[in-house]
Amino acid sequence: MLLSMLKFLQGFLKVTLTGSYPERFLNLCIRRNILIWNLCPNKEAGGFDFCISLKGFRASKELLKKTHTTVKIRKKCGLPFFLYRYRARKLFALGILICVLLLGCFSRYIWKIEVNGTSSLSQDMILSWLEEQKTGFGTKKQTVDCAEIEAKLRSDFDVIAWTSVKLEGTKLTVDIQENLPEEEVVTLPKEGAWDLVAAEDAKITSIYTRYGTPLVQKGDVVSKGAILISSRLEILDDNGEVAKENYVVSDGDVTGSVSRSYEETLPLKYQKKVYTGNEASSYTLQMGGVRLPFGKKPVSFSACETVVTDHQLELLPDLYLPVHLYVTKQKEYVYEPSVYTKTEAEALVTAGWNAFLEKFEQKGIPIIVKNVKIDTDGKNCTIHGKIQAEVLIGTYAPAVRREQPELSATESLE
Amino acid sequence: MIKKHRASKNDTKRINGSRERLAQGLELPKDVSCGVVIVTVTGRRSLVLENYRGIVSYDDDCIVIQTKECRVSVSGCRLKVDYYTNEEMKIVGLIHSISYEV
Repeated sequence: MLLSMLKFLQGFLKVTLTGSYPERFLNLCIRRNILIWNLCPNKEAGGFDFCISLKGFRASKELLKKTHTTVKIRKKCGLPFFLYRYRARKLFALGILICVLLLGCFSRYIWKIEVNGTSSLSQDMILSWLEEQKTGFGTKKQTVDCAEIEAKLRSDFDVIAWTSVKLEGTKLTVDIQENLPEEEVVTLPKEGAWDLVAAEDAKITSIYTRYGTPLVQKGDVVSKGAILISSRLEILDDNGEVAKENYVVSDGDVTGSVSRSYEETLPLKYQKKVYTGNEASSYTLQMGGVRLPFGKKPVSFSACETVVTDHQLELLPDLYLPVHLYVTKQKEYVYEPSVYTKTEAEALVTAGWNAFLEKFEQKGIPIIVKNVKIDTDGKNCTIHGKIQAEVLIGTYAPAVRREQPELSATESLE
Repeated sequence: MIKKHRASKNDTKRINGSRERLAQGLELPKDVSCGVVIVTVTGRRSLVLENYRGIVSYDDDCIVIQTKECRVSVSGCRLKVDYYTNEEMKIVGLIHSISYEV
């Protein structure tokens, strides 16, 4: 590759050598360090075809006389011949020079920002934040410190667990990894007297007590607010009577079977979006702040879907320039009154029911019983669903302290 | 005149012989000390020659190269000299045989 470039820059000739002793000419050439390549015999001319550098060709003229050989130039290749051919076109050369200079100048700025890996954060949020940090579009690459942006991103957005900012060509790539959504956890109070009470009506399916006194057992039906694990610890004396009561923060896992219902009503009559088949495309070229619309003018449909696609000029991989081509595609549509068939309506309401069930599956909540009924009359399609799920039902409530039992007479005497 | 020519040829042989012995004693590579030809063949399609003097004859089927000690004849099909410099030359094409002619 490098050698080919060097040959092109210096210029070379493709020639045919004929005469009495062409081999002698070749041998003399190598004695004088004249490079010859792509040498092959030419049977028609009775000599050889080869490539020779321009400098070598000039030096070999003396050898041609000496060996009684002649050379016929078949093709002139390389930069010196190119420049000679286009010597009159000075403006063309100037244009190329200006183009190269502009390219060099533009490649010193950021012209594309790519944000990957966002889920709860939007791309616009990150882009506007970068704009605030003076790292937006058109920022000088020299002033951008990727490590600093990474640190600021992590400190300004708590949801970001990991980030990587890299600058390649004129493109700034921001890769983000967000924290997993936190589960709803009932926080344990640090001190005081706290009972674990039922958050809703349920049937106890399991109870595991770590601290406190369990007041319910498996199979009990409890209503909302009922104490599941009491914070009161009773200390009994030798007679089996309560000698002392200690109040603690009760702790344990109590699961109960709770019911959840789902209902959705879908009207069978609806407005259906029907595409008329009328489509229109328009183009706009944007160079920096200048917008140049060209081609057909945008058509004004009464109702249409508009999709704008941005094509940015990319000269080389990751070398973007501030030249955008916006392609606007419009598709006309009208609303027509329509009616869902029974199957369509049932499929739509079932999709909603499945999404409802999926929420429980994602949280890892086991569903014990599942009942669903779909009713379709002339107007609506209604789905009634009910499930029994096993959930943690405990929540904390401040304990009501009882008065301490009075000491017996004998104890007081002692 | 003939006698003188013979004497010089004998002298050359003697010098070459002593040079070879010296190179062998000093464990010098023979291509450096005696200018022996180096032929590097890669498969059947490529051959690189070093330490040669020049091309004796060249056509599509056979290339004869003069070296210091002998002539190297490369025969094959569609033989082409990829490059030809003072140091080395590369022959490409389908090589059938390489022979040494004294």
